[in-house]
Formats: sequence, structure tokens, C-alpha cells
Amino acid sequence: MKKAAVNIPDGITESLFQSPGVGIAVVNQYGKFIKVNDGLCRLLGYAQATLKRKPYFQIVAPAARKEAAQMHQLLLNGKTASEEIKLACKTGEEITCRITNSLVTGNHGEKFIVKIILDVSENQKYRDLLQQTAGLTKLGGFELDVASKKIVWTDEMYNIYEVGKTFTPTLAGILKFYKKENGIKLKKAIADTIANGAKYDFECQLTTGKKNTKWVHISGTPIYRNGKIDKIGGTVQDITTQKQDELQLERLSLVASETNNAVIITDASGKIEWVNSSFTKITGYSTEEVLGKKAGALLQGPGTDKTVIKRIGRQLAEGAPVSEVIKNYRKDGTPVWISMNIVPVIKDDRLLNFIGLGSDITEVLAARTSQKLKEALEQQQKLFIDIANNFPDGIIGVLDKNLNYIFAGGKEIKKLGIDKSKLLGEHIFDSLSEQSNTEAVPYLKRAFDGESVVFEIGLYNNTYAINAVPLISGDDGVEQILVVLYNITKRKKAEEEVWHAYEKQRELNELKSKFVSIASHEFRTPLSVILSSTDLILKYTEANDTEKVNKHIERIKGSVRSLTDMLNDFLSLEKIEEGKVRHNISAFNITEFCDSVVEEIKLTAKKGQQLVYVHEGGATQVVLDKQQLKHVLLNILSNAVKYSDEGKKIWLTSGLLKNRLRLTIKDEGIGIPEEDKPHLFETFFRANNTINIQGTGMGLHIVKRYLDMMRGNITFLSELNKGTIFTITLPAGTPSTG
Amino acid sequence: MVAVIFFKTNYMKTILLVEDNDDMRENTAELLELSQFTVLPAKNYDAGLTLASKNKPDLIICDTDVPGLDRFKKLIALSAMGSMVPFIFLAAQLPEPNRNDVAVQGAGFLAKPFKADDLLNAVNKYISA
Repeated sequence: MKKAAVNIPDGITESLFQSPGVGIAVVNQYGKFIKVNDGLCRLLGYAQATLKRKPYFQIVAPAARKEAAQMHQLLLNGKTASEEIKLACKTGEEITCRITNSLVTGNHGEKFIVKIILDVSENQKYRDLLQQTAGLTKLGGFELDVASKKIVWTDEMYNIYEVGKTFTPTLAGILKFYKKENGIKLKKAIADTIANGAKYDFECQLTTGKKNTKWVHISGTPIYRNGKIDKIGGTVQDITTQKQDELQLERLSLVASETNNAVIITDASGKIEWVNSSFTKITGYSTEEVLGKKAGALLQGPGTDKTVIKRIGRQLAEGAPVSEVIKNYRKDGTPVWISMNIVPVIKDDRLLNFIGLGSDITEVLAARTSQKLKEALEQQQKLFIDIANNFPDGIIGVLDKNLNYIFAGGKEIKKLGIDKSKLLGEHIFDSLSEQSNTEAVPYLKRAFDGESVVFEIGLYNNTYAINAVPLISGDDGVEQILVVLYNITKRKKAEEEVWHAYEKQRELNELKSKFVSIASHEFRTPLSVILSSTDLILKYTEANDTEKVNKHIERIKGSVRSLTDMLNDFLSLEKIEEGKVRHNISAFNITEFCDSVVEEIKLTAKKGQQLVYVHEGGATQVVLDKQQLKHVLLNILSNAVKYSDEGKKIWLTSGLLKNRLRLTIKDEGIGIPEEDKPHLFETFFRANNTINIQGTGMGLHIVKRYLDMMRGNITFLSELNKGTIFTITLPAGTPSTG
Repeated sequence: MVAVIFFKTNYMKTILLVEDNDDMRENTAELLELSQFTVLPAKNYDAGLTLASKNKPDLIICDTDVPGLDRFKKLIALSAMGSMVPFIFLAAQLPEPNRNDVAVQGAGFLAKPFKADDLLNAVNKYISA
């Protein structure tokens, strides 16, 4: 531990030095005078110039020079001592002087002895002087008379021991201030000095007269007289304040070495002078490895931010403390983030050291980064939830393995009238329908097998497209799936409309191609009849067979009529399909209407077929589309004729009841097979038992279509080979008055 | 055989006519009868088959649009005299030229509607051959 230096203000030193009653000399380690004051020169009768650079031993009486040389060596070894020695004046006269020696070490390790030389006769003056300085330094001096054990001391001693001026110091009395081991140590040291001439110099604690504990630095030196130890001279310096500072320092250095922070002390050029154990712990470098090396070169690496290094250098050059976070590298090459504080130590405008304090914040940074990541993730999550909640026309949900909602969002939830809070933890369609649940489950299970599935499902008259994709996979495979339900009702409807339009177009095209194909067959027969009948007419005209000619003219007429009928059927059907049928409502008498239709049918009736018409009562006036009704009736009646054998009867009845017209057409024809009944009104459908009978399959279809347009109804009862009854009912409009 | 055929031609030849349309059947029959052929009219194939097996016609004229034609042709072919009897088919459309159909090969075709002369030319061609 460094010895506390006695700092005397410059002015005092100078005035002391020039003090005329005291001789003061500074002697270097080789025993030569560096400086002497006027006081000494006057005392010994030398001129100042003659003493400078001269050996000190020159002024010692020849008999005492050996003793003086010994003392000089002792002094250089660091001990403060006082001596009484005979000095020689220029005149050769010897005078006894008291010399108080102190060792001063220069900045470069050179040693000087400061000698305060006092003519013993001038003793009192010396004491006064000492007292002046003592108060400033808290330094007291004493002399113990070995024989009497009496003590003489300076006034400062009263302050140090905190006793009154009336206190008479004795060895026994003084020892009482030193408790326990301190007292024993001092007692022993004094005894040793008296017995062996050993000096003592140590620090210890004492308890003052006011019971205050003080740290003191005490020293004692034997004072020889005629070769015998006559007295012990010494000092007691109150070093409590310094001691406290030292303790503080000690504690601080302990802290520095024990702290978790790395501590580096470098010299002004940045070379490492000291590091603590935490530095080793953090960087992996031992103290030996780093001493004398530059900290920067040792610790920085490729990832170190050069701009930060430059900033640190700039700030330190200005003498400013630095706080930075920097990426350094350990001995093993692994990076370490150091938060460092560097303080330049400046004294008297001179940069002495840098003290660096660094802490490893790698984990803190990592934690901060993960915190940031977490925040970013939370942000993302929030964003996802916002997106999900605002998802239009659909629901975004996350399902667990049991197909229960873990998360659900989307505007469709509200639209479906579901309480969102109740949805969580619920099975996918619990809130909606049992059936949907059953339909959806197999698809959703496939998503849990790692497949992306798309399917459609109907809920409350709405159609939903459902996308299910595997979301989170764990050790046991997919644990969560993302399910997006999108309401595609509108799209579906549009699709259906397009499909419907397409179907209609397709049907129409089919109809046309069927027409072409049927026309090519069905038209050829009547055309053949016409052609062959004309040939026959020519032949019979030559033979003058008028009867046969007329028969064939009728046959031609019939064929043309059947061609016209067929053509009309096709045209009607096309008009119906394209929605181009015109309605022409008029009021007419139903019985007259039926009579004319029956007359028309009779022309085509087979041999012996009878047509019977009966009006079964009620009013006779109806308001209907006459043309359409005629078509309907002709069609069914001509079927009756066509599918009944010769000589069979056909009945037509009409009736008006509650403003509805009812028509029945009954025949004794071949009837309709049971299996064909459901298809009877389909386009181009022909029953199994009609294959040998000509027909296009359009008639009844057109009948049905016309009746639909008239908001009418057609039903039939039929038994194979017995006959068929068709019943038509339709609203007959407002009955006219009368 | 030549003598027999010649002998036969001196008599009225018999033609079986299968046609479902009454007017057409009657008109075709009248045209053939005016040319001194004996016509056996049949409204459908079953009736035609019965007539064919009873009367052994010299020619069969039949409408192809009458359902069940294939069956009819097979039955004719299986009957004892079947393969000897020439056919003239009355068709809405003429068959494809190289149609690989035994029953159709060697048969005559007449597209509807046909003129009286076309019919008689075809009949004479098949009966005199």
C-alpha cells in the first residue's frame, strides 16, 4: 500500500525554506547537495554557491562522518529519522545540531533527503516552526525520554489524542489510547527501539480522549547521544481521512475486481494496465495475455461497427467520457455485445489513464430482439385478426383436431346471426346445422391428413365454398387447420343463371337438330304420298276413273295438312322455347268453339270412329286465348283418333264451374304404358306402344306448354288397350254478363 | 330353273310390301298393281313375315323407318326361301355405299319420296335379274 504523502502547500514550503532560523538542505541519493537555504549557510558560515553540488558529508564533523553515511543509507531505505550530530562550520568549529530527515521520491524514482537542520540551542524556534506546520498536516511530533519515560510533544498531539492542554503525556498514559493489539504492538515497538535501536513505522487505530476512533500513522526513531539511545523521537499523524479514502479505494478496487462488469485500466496510449476477473470471464483472455496490449486491437473484429470506434476515439481525444454499445469478440472468436463506459483519468491537464467498464449485454440484446420479434408477431397477429374480422362475405376460422373453433372472424358470422363469443370452442357448424356438420367432417378430416381441400356446402339457402388447409403441424401431424368459408351464393346464382341460359340454348339447339332429323323422316312419308298420289291421279285420269282421282286428291290434301300440322308444331315449339308466344285473349262461346274443333277432327277420323261432344252445363262464355286452346284441343283429339282403332268412340265434354273451364277427352284407344306415364309431356317423347304409329313426340309437350302459359292444368287416366281420359282445367276469365 | 323363272314371269309376280303408313302403303300397292304385280300389303314386319312364309313373294319392298327391321331381315334370311328373295328398301336416306351389312348387300334402295317410274324401274330390275 502506497504511503500517504505529506502534501504541503507550495507557499508554505517556500516560506519554510527561506526561514532564516532553520537550515534546510536537499541532498540527493549520492549525498550531494541539490539545494541549501540561506539559514544553513549562515549557520555554518558558507556562501550558498560553495555548498551546491558539494557532498553533504563535507559539513559533518570528521568524527561523525561514518555515522552520517550509515544514516544516509538508512534514510534512502525509506525511514524517517531524526538525529543529533555534530556539524563542522567553515571555521572548523563543531556545533551540535538536530537534523530531521525526510525522504522524498521524485517523479522518476530519484530519491532526495530533505534535511531540516537546527542548532540545538535554537531548539525552541524549531519547535515553534514544527507546530506551525503540524496543524496543516495533522502531524504531531514527540520525544520520549528513555530514562524518565516522560514525553514532550507538539501542540498538534492534543488535537490528535483529543485531550486538554492540561494533559501530561507519559508512555503509560499514551499507551492507554491504543486498545488491545494496537497497544501491544506499540508497546513492543517502543521496547524494541529502546533495546535494539530499531525504528518503528506503522498504521494503527487509537481511541481518543473523546472516545473517537482514529487511524494514525505512528513512527519512532531512536535518538542517540554519545552512542547511546537517549530518546525516541517520532511523529503521530492523524490519517483517518486518508484512511477512509483508502478504505473507500480498497473497497472500490475490491468492487472493481469482484464486479460482474469487466473493468479495464489502460494507460494514456490505451495499453492495458489492469483488468479484473470479470474481464477474463467475459472475454476469455487472462490478465497475462492482455497486459501491455491495446484493448481495441484485442477485442474488435469484423463485425465491430467502425463508425462507433471512430466516435469513441473522437470523444476520448476530447477528454469526454464515452458510453457505447459495441460488438466485440471473445478469445474463441464468438461475438459478444458489450455496453461500455470509458472515463479518461486526467490530472493537472495530463491524461493518465482510461478506465473502461464493460458489461456483456449479448443476452439482453437477444432478449430485446426476441421482445421486438414478439411485438412484431403480436402486431402481425393483430393484423391477421383485423383482416379476419373484416373478411367480407365469409368466415375465417382455425379449427383444432376436434373440429372446434380456436379462432373465428369474418363479417358473415354476424350475418348468420351467430354470437362470435360462443363460436370459440364449438364444433364447426354446431351453430348452423347438423346436416352440414356431417357433410363437412370427411373433407375437414382430409385437411388434417395434410391435404388442401375445397368443397361447397349449403347453409340457410346460402352456398359456401370452404377451403381447408393444414396450418400447424406437430409431432402428431397436423394439429390445426385454417378454414375459410366464403359465401358464394351470389356467384352460384349467377353461375346457375348462366348455366340455365346455356341449357336453354342447348335445348333449343337440340330441338332444332332433332327437328331436322325428324323432319327428314316424317316429312318424307307425306311427300311420298303426295308424289305417288299425283302419279296415280295421272294414271286414273287416263283411265277416266274419277272416283280414284278424287280419292287421291283427298289423300294429297290430307298429306299436305299433316305436313302443315307438323310444321306448325315445330314453329309453335320454337316460339314457346324462345318465349316468343303472343297472347291473344278474347271472349268466345265454348260450345261453338268445341263444335268447330270436333268438325275439323272428324275429317281425319278413321273409318267408323265417332266423335261425341257434350257441354255439361254452366255458362258458355269464356275469356281465353282461342288459338292456343284450339291447338291444345286439336292435339289431344287428333291423338285420340290416331291411337284408337277404326269404329271406336271419342268423347269430348266441356263445363264451366266456378269460373274454371273443364274439358275432358276420352277415347277407347291403345292407352299409355305405365312406365311411360311420367314422361308423357316431355319433348319428342313417344310411348313404347306407338312405334308403329307416326308422330313427332311434340304434340303433348306443346299442349303442356300452352296450358302452363294459360295457367291451366292437364291430368290423365289411362289403362293399356282400354283407353285414356285427359282432363284439362283452366281459368276461364271473367264471366260475361248474361 | 331358267324355264321356271321364265314361266313365272308369264304369271303375275308377287311383291310383299311392308309399309306402316296407310296412305303410302295403299299408293305403292296401287302403283304396283297397275303394273300387273300381285301385292301383299303388310302394316308391320310381323304381318310381313307371316305373309312372306305363306306366299313366297318374288320381291320384298319394305320401309326402313319401320322399327324392328333388323330382326325382320334376319328372319327372312333364315327362312327356306329367304336368300332367294330380293329386297328393295324404301329409305328416308340412302345407306353409306360400302356398308358392311350382309342383309343390305345386294339389296336395292329407293329414297323417299320417289316417283312411280323410279319404283317400277327398281322392281323390274330386281325381278327380271
